[in-house]
Amino acid sequence: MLLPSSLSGARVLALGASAALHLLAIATLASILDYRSGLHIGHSPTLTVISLAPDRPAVEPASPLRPERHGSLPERASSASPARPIAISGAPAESPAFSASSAAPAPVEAGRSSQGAATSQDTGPRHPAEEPDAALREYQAMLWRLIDANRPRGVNMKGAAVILFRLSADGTLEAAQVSRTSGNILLDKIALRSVRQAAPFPRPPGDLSVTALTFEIPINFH
Amino acid sequence: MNSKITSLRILLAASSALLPLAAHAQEATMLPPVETDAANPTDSVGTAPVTGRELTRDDIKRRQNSTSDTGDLLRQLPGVSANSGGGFSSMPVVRGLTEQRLRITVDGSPIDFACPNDMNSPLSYTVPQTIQSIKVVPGVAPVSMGGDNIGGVIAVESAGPRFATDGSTLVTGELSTFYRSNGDGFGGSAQLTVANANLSATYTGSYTEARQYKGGGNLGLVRSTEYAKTDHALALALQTDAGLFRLKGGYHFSPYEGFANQAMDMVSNKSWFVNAGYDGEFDWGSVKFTADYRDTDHEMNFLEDKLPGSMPMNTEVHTFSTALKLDLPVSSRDKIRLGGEYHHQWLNDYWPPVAGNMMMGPNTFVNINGAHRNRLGAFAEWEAHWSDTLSSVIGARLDHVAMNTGQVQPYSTTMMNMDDAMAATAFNAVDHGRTDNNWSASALVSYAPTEGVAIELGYAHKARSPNLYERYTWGRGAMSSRMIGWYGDGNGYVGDLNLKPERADTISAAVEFKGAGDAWSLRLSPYYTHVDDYIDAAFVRNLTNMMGMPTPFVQLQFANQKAEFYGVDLSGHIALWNGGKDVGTTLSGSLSWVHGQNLSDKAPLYHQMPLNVKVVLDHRQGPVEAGIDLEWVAEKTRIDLTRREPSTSAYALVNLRLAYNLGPAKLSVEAENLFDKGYSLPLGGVSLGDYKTTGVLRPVPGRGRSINFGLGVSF
Repeated sequence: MLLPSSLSGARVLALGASAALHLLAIATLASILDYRSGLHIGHSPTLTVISLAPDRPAVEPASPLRPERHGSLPERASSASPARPIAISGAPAESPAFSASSAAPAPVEAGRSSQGAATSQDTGPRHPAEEPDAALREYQAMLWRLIDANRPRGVNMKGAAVILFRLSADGTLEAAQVSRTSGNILLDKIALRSVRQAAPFPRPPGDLSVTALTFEIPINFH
Repeated sequence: MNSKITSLRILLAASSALLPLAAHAQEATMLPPVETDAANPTDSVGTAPVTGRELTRDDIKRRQNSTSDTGDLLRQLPGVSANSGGGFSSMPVVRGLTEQRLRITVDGSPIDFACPNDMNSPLSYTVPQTIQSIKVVPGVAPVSMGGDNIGGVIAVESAGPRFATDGSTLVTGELSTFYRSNGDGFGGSAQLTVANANLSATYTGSYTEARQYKGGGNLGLVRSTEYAKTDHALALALQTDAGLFRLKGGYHFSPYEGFANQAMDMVSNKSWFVNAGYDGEFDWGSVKFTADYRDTDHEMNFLEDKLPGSMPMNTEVHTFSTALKLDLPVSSRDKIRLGGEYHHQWLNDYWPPVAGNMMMGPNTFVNINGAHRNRLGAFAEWEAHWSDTLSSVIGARLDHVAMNTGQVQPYSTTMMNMDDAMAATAFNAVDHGRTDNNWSASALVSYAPTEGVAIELGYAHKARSPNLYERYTWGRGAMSSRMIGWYGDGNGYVGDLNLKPERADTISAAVEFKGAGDAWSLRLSPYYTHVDDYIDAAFVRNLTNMMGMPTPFVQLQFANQKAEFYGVDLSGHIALWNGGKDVGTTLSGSLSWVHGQNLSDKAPLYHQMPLNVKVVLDHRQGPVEAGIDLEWVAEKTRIDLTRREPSTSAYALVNLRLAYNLGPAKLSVEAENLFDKGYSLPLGGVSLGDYKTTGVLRPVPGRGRSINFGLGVSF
């Protein structure tokens, strides 16, 4: 009763066939591009070992683009609250702690020493002493703040991606990639961009191995 | 210094691709997560400012059984009302500014209305059941959201493409069906998505049909309110490392739609469209490209209530639009948006002669002869996040609009068509090409001093060019001028070739308070808009019928005048009781008040919604949902005497809703206008369908009591 008797049925069929052909062409093109792209999500790349000779060039002047940051860490509010909490001065112990070494994917709990002692890192002749670890935690906090300042804004899609990145001895970003995809390639790229735009980071404290300069950060889109 | 850092970043970005890291994953230090929230007021100032409102899928679901009219759905939002048209063609009004002054997009593509009676308003191509969200941003909307509007943007979005995230094939969808007792309305919709990790296909289809409805109390049958339509669309999406590619095609067919407040009814509307889009994210920024094409064939004549007689009218419209938008984050604080768009509209409006009719023939009445309206727009916008509590977005935009149309022709040049014949000669003797260069600018500042408080201030200067009918409609005869029907007042309108674009200055503020854990919220939004060269209408003559007897209608001509609008929107909610998950009671409410005045003749503007208050009580107890809606509307005494606008009385309506969730299914029943209150729609216009049959002119009555049933399944 409703379908018109005009030739619109043929039109729709032709439209569908044309759309399918176009999509096939696009898919072929996209798969060629995907093959050539450097970002191999889900593939396992080969191990590349890079030894960093300790180098102490002149202190890099502060970038005028870096926002002013308070000395201590921002209060981490629960994920239920939508508003961005203001950075407050408070004891570092209240904040999510940064440990000198890592456990696997789970975010680190407060109280670093429980994890710090067991998993050793090849940081050379370094003991898990108070000062160097506190400096390292401060550095990690600074990294987080810089990436948070460059966080994606106004993105309407939802998901969670994890970015894996490595810094060189003077704080420049050597490599960054998506270590866990959100399932949405656009969100992954937005997350990656946030880390890349936060670079270059300040010099890390003291002599750290490649492992200690490798970080993972989840970026959650609500 | 900046360029050194930029080039260093480019070098790093390039080189970083060469150093895979996965081997170090298990030894990496895990930092705490960075949370980004689309609802954060200062973060989203450029895309979802506090001044704007959003109707979510849940809000729509609550009312999708009672209406097939998306324009009517929007009335849930404070500050938004709807001018009645047909059963699925209401025209939204935002803060007093009507549809012609708004930019309405469906899935990002702008849709033009295609006929002199505004019968296929953009929202008539949408169906409540298949909409994911509707965003309404009033006049101070950022310029990146769209040009050629002074009243803001209404963006209707269907569900975005979904992909499988766990390696298997994703199959998901929704089916729904409904029945409404008042008018025997029924229909159904289906949405099905099949997707793997990279390719997603979604089919959406719907059908709806209804007979004439009855007004409440003793108002009786409201004639010319029947309708039927069907919509189908297939959307494909492919996500690759190069970006997201989208392709969507669809078809809309309506065999009939009665218009109670217009002289004509719609007897056929066929429209098909193709949308293509590309979204890409790169280290230097985001790219969004869209291209759309739509073809509409629209026919008007009389349905059963307006018989006897025949007056065929055909309109053909082709629209093509394309847009490119770039988002460039230049620093952690600043983001620059650049964009350009091109929109082409071609319209042909002609009325074939009627055999055996002395007046409507022997020639075809050519109303609009292959007119085009081409718009080229470009904008630049700067969004800055000064701190975690303060953001701003400032932009400017230029829209170049070029219009032209061909020669016109009346039905005949005999005495019966003398007014039209003389008007055609005068119209054909002059040049019709017109170009406008419209500058717009918008500035918004968003401040969130503590959690739960957001304050936004905005100022905008916006401009819009007249549409094809406002400039090019030429008929001076009583009957031909009455074919401009979108005002719903039965009057005749004549265009003016020399109309200037409308220019509006708006200031608005929005303050929002939210309690912890969604316990309560309060939102207050006052605004003021002053419009120069507002296109209103000036009196030409009284209209008499064929025998020379007076009628209740007048003939008016579009004219640039001055107008102002001010008002306030208030809304809020309180969680009265929270008993845990899926258990609780919430009280919410809203209040809207707008005052629209024509400053040239110092009289009220046409169709200004009177003060209205809505109170909603929702209760959820596990699988059972219950609700009561109360709506109170004040009397409309501020009326436009130039248009002979009728006043309407105050009224209060009560709706009762009950729903039961059983696994993936949801069964709902609703008593709309429970007490069968008889009332007239303040923005309903006059009931011409009834007038033709009964000889009595009355405002269009609102719907009487209706028991609505709905069944939905999600999987």
